[in-house]
Amino acid sequence: MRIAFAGNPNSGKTTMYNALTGRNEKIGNWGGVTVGSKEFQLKKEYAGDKEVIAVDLPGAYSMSPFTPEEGITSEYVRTANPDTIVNIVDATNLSRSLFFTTQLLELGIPVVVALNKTDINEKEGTKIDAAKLSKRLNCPVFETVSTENKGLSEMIAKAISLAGTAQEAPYMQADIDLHDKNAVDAEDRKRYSFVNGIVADVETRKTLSAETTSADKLDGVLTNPIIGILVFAVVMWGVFWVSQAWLGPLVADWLVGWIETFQEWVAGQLENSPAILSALLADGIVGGVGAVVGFLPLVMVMYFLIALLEDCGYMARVSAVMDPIFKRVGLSGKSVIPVVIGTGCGIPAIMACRTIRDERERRATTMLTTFIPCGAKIPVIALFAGAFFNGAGWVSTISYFLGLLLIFLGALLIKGITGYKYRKSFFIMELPKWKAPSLKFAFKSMMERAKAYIIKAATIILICNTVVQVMQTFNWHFQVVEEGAENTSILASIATPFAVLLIPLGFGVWQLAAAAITGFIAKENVVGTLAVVFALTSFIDTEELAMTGGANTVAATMGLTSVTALAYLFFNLYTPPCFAAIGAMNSEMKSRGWLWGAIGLQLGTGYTIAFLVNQFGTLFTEGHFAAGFIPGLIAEAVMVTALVLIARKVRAHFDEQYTLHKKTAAKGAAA
Amino acid sequence: MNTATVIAIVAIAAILFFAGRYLYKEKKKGKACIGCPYSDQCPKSKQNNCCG
Amino acid sequence: MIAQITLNNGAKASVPAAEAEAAKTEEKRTLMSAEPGNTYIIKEINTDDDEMNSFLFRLGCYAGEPITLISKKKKNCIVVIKDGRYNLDQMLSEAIII
Repeated sequence: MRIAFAGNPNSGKTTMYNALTGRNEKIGNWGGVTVGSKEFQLKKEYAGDKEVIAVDLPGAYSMSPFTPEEGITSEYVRTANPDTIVNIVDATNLSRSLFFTTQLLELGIPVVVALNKTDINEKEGTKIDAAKLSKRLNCPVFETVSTENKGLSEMIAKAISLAGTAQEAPYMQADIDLHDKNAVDAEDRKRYSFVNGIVADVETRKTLSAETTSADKLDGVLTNPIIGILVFAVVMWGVFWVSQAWLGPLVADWLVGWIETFQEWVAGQLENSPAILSALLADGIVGGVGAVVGFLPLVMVMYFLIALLEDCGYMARVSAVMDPIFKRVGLSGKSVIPVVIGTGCGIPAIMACRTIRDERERRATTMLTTFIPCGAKIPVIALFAGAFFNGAGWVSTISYFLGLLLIFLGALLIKGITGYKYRKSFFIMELPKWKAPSLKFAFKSMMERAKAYIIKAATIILICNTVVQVMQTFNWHFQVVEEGAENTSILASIATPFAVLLIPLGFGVWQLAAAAITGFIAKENVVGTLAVVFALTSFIDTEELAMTGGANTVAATMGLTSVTALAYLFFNLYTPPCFAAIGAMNSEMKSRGWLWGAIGLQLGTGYTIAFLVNQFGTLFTEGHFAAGFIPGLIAEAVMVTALVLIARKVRAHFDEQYTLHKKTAAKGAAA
Repeated sequence: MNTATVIAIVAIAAILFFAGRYLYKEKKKGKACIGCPYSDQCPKSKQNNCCG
Repeated sequence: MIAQITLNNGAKASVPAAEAEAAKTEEKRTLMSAEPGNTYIIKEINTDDDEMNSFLFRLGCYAGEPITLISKKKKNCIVVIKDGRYNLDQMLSEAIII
């Protein structure tokens, strides 16, 4: 049997789902964290002997969808025929939540109401008479606190026992013509007055929700256009600094020491074996995977801090303060949430774009959000910061803020290409109550991500490294390449044509090109491949490696100056993300044109940034432009021409498109 | 051929075998991206009942 | 129960002031010109966007309902509708006539 979890956004559905199933789905203190449905078996202690599947649905305010993710919920409860619906009601906002409840009750499927967040109500002195509410709604009501597992087992037992029974609605919508807007409005009004009647009957409040509290004063400061943005910048800088310059490297140094010892031990054992074996096992598998795993502490600390931020309620405030800026470039304040999620992983960030209502804004955010370096890019950043810039914290800070800047510039570009359609773009964001972030949840989320990271390293990255090692060791006749003739290897001959294109960027050697290419499978691969092709492992131990001016072993082996190193880093950060993220983009945008536009834009951006950094960096440090300035300019000219041509084509169809757009919008509203 | 070599060959074979098998199994389960904690939600991995 | 009554009382008290103000300026008073800390009764929602109107409706933001302005900036404001706090942008708050 199936039990569906439905309710308003941010009422605690996923937290309850996690508690009941033992899963570890993403939670956060703002509306719209869950953007797709998820299902899993209930834990034995709740389900007993029966097989019960819990279905977690995105939050919705009503049965008529407003944003795409709300549509998933209403379609599911309407068409998938769950055996029971658990309606999670935010007890701190009963009057709004019950509107949806009464709609669910009309479906005929048995409903159990979980009056969630009752702990906050207790603190605020709000009392809700659950027995009376149950009577008025004609369905069982349970007081729950899903963060503490309170009241869950009674609630779910009742939900299971009700399966197969029929629900009688306390309020039925009259038979009206659903196309008649006024009639629908009038019905909705009646429904609301019915709800208000119930609320007045069962709820007593001690503190009025309309009173200004100290939390409101804090919100006032955080949504101040100047102070709010400064606070956001400082908070994000703090997150990057702690995870990538202080606590993260501290743990990573220790971990890398162990990995290196192990690698040396393996190499020592294989002293008398064929060199190819030692290369494959010690350098390829242990070295390559070790280089990636060595950065795990940085990534874990980062995930932990981001989880704390997401849990306390700050995200909604950031979204509010950033809205005016994002609006100016043609995005919306809601675009901030994908951007911040994107610091963890690009895929959920791309999916989080579903909460953006306007199609153009949604697609634009989808294609731009991966400019923010994701968790998999942290090893790449840390490697270059450590090896070339003495582990300087500014490298990672610059990487993130340049990413943000590119999002703005990209948005302006998209706005220019698609033609600015004047369209009223409204922004409304619920500001959830502040809460102390749960260390337990943050820890769990961190461990989940760490597990995924290790699995990735031990499977995909390991296999990629082995393949790279083999391709580098053999030439096309499957003979081992001799020392000094590395350029004849399979890997070299495949990567060289790409490397030629990269000469204007300052890193036109096949090893670096190969690393950038493997990065499309997973960004950590850049580090793994570099470790394999240059036979290096100890990227992090900055004390040993980093000398001034980048003249250390890593830098010397790679043949990069600090300028070209920065160019290479930026190239890897701002080119298209991994294939998985591109796949997610494809399924979210549902348009070939936009997808190719996105890939083209990202390739062009990565190339241009690297080109500018290399050429002007070299100009400043050495007084002349770097090699390949003219070919690079030609490449840039080609890109600009392509851009102009696309813009022209799009604008030529502008009027046509616009009317079409309007028609479909009108149709959508009617349906 | 000494013992270390034999162990190394066996180890490489075993590691690659298990990594490959894991990937194969996950792909068969319909997961689009390996190790991705979001693959359940990902529209790519369940195209059947996806809605607009 | 108590909550509802006091809320309505507070709202009623501020309505005549709002009307007087509106009469003076001889134009519709939007949320943007309201005073923070006061509760008003919504007269009309006018977003030119049916879907947006009905979305606001579902949040409990519709003609005849009280709305409290908590704070106000140039580009945005924070309001209380029902028992939830929301951040609205300038465009939306100008579409709410009180």
